[in-house]
Amino acid sequence: MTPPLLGLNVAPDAVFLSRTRRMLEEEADFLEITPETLWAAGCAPGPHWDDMVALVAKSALPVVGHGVGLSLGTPGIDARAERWLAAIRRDHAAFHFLWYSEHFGFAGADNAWAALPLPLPPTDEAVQSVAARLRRLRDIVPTVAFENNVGYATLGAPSSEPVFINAICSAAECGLLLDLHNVHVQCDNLGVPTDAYLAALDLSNVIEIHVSGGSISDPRWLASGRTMRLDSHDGPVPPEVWTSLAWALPRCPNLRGVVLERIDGSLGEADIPAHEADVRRLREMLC
Amino acid sequence: MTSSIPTPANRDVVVRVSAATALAAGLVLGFSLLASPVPDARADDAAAGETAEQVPACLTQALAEMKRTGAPGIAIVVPAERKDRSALRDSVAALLAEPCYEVQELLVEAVWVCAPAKQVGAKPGETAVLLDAEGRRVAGAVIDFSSQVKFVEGIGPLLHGEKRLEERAKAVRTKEVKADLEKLLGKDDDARSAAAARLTEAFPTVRAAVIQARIDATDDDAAKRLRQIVSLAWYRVTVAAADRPMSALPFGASWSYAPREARADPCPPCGMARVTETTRVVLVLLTKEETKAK
Repeated sequence: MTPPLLGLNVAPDAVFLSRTRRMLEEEADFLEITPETLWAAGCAPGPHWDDMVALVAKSALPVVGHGVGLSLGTPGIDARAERWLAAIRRDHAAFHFLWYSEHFGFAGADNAWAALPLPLPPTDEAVQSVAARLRRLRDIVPTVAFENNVGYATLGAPSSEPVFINAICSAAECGLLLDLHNVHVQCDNLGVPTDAYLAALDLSNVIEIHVSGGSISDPRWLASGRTMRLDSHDGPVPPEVWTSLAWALPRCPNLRGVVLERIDGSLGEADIPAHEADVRRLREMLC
Repeated sequence: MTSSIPTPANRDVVVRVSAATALAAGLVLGFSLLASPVPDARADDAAAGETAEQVPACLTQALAEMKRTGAPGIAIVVPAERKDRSALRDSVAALLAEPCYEVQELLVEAVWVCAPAKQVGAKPGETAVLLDAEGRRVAGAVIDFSSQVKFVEGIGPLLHGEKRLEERAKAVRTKEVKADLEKLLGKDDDARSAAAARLTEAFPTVRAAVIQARIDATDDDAAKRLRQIVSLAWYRVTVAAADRPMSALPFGASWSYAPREARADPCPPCGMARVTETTRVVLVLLTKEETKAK
């Protein structure tokens, strides 16, 4: 079996790019971009769209697209979704995505929009809604997947979410982007054993894995003083996620790539050595 | 002088630093001496004053600008140690992330350049050197770039002390400039607008007179009108800085600087839990609801 490729995210931010330059040039087998971060109002190309197209061309590396705001769980295809899909089609023509993934959940309902996808009720209707939008996406990029989202609350039993995810993969005939940090965060916050959650997933659907790090919420955020683990992508990959990755790698027969994600604005000068160590550790695990 | 200086949360600063570093690269000549995120032997040599290639180019450019405009120069002394350069780079970038008016005014008052201590006559320990329009050392100081308050407290006296600003203002306050400053503070709207336009256009060469007038203004309305001239000059500086290239990007790529006005949302959704302004409002409301429920 060909070893999975190592991917790194490229954020449209000059400082982040310069700080991750060495790893991008020396270690990345492919790049992950979130097209929406390159868009201006109305899904039009934003000020850094051309910059990113040029960067990708110079890199000569393949690219995968990773969306957030299509809102897979919103039923039907409204005008916003059409606009969104048209923009993805335009970007696919420019970036030639190897595959395209979206986040699980919904970001829009009744003309109100959230920046990050919210949890869906585990119903057949939700399965069909998500599958329908994934099929539309597949009309544009032949290989699509959706990412298990991180929820700080769920509408069904948190432990049964893998069943919901498996059902969508079957209905949409699509891949799964298994975000191991999301699993770690959600399971930790909601009291679900991570190993049980992972074991309940049909790992043959997994085509991509995400690893990343995060932080703990400020106790002042909630009146109760309770803290929660955050999927904030602003730190080194924690040991629990490395353990999950070691467990998952041999169990995902269709895995194509593993992406180490880091959010721009969080990588200071002093953080570079730890970040590079994470990249090299990932490389060793993939060989 | 420091009344409007905000104290933003660390997180806010970190998020804004990215764009600010791009701005710094265009605003501070020779910023690349601080900006290499990886070990860079050329920067090491240049910081130690051992290499005479890149640094004179920055200084030459700065001197040309100073001569053209009559503005003073501030040389930020490049630390010899890489870790100190790195810290200074982050401090300067953070300073430019969301500069208050007082910082903006000091930034547009001078030409900024990074240079090794040897080349600007810095004395041991000094972190900034004031240069006259001919490039001669006027004075030096230990400036702390890590906060807006300390920056203002340090750079203000360096630029203005010993009647330096007053003398520069006097030198450029021609009969025409004096007339425009009076019209700007007058009650004739048309004359005021025309004067504002002329002062804005001529700002690079009359900056000392405008800033001195702002300092001398005896009423809020006059100070406000003069501050608008300075703020517009700051805006123009940021736009001009946008045209200067960044360095050290992967695969030899280049990156344009997008002024704030060009961005639909400074914080677009990227799936990494960075919340937009709108979402932040919703989160505040949710937190309030939870508090109320308890």
